[in-house]
Formats: sequence, structure tokens, C-alpha cells
Amino acid sequence: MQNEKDDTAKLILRCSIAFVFFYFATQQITSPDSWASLIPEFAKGGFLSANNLVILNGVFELTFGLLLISGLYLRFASFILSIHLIIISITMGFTPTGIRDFGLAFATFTLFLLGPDKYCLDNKLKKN
Amino acid sequence: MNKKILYLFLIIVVSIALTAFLRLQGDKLIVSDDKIVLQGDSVKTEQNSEGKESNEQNQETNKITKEELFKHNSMQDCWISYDGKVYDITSFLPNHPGTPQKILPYCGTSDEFQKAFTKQHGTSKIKTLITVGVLMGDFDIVGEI
Repeated sequence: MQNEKDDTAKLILRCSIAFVFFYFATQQITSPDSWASLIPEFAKGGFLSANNLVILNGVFELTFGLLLISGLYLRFASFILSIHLIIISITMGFTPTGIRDFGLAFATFTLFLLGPDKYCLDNKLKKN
Repeated sequence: MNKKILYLFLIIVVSIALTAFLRLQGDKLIVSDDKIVLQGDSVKTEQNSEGKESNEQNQETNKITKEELFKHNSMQDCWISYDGKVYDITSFLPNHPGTPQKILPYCGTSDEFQKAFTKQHGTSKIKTLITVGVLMGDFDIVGEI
């Protein structure tokens, strides 16, 4: 019974975090102009324009969001996403956005610590 | 293990397809009456005279005159510009910690706002403009008031 509750809690956490990534990925892909000014200086100056970097970041978040929601390579995906969010929150500094991302980073890191639940593809494929 | 890689491959394909779809949606332009609406990297203008004439052009840079910017200089409609980026900060005005009256004199301005903002906040808070306002676009600000 307790395990059932734990798995449901993990599922809710996983899906809600994935939803956040989907939302922001969609925003970045559809209107990169609005996000280009947030690209940190160290990331600029390469062969990609700020807009393309935003789109690339959107694709990254979309892909890893799909990994989260499907529960495939869950530990790997959640670890990478939490590092990604930590970098964003450090870049943003002590602002409302920075604080929000800091909280999200640790929620995502919790997924890494918890590991796959029974609804994850990781678990389902292991059984087969 | 092979199945996992297959699923991973599928997820990558799905995300690329979704990106392509979303990009196509983002490039669509919303045009109503004689208004010009900016979206993505292109600008489309259309005359309202029974839809007789339409004109589409891609522009590397968009221009806005200081006169046009200055039209948005009230509590109900406040645009400011920083470093060529024009923001609509109307909804933020009532929430400004230093009271709206501190910003109001700079509504509709570019250089004046930029100087006042930098003097008050330095350059570390430039990024907050995007979070408190709506980015209208990146413009060359031309002309005089």
C-alpha cells in the first residue's frame, strides 16, 4: 500500500516537472526573440545566434521533458535537467525567476535520488 | 536494452517533429485591420481596403521612431526601450517597488530610461526587464521627438 502511494507521488512529481519543461520549451521554440536577451554572455559569440541558442535550448528541454514523462533513462534525464536548472538559476541570480528555478532544480534532483517508479518505461522494459 | 534505445530514438524523433511544428506555428503572422503585428523574424503589412493589396517583407532590423515610442507614455500604456529592445511594462508599473511615479516620467523614452535605469540599478538587473515586461521587439530607434 505504501509502495503504491510512493509510486503515485513519484509519478505526480515526474509529470508536473515534465509539464514545466514542456511549457517553457514551447515558449522558447515559438518565440525565441523574447528569450534571446536571457542568454548569458559566456554562451554568446559562437557560431549560433542568440535566437538559435534559445531554440536549441527549447529542443533540449523538450527532449529531456519527454524522457521524464515517459520514465526512460529517468535518473540520467533528471540529473542533467537539475544541473541545467542550477546553471540557469545561478545565471539569473537572486531574482524571482532565479529562485523559482533553484526550487525546480532541487525538485528535479529529488527525482534523480528517488529513481524510477513502477510506471516508468525503465521499470517496464526491465521486466520484459 | 535494445528496446530502450529504440524508445530513446523515438523520443528524439518526436521532439524534432514537435519543434518543426512549433516553429511553423511561430512564423505565422497575425494581421488585423491596418495593424502590423510582429512575430518571429518577419513583418507583414496588409491594407484594410477590402483586402485589395497585401505586402509581405522580411526585415533584418525593425525600426521605430522616437515619436512612435513617445506615444506610449502613460500609466495605461507604458513602453520603454533599453539597448534597442522595446518593452511594454504597463502591467508592471503598479508593482514597481519604488512606486510607479518613479518610472512614469521615463515611459515612452529610450535614452532617458536607459540612463535612469542604469543609474538606479546598474547593469545587473537588465535581465529583469524581460520578466516584468513584454518584449515588443528589437528595434533601431530613429528620429527625434
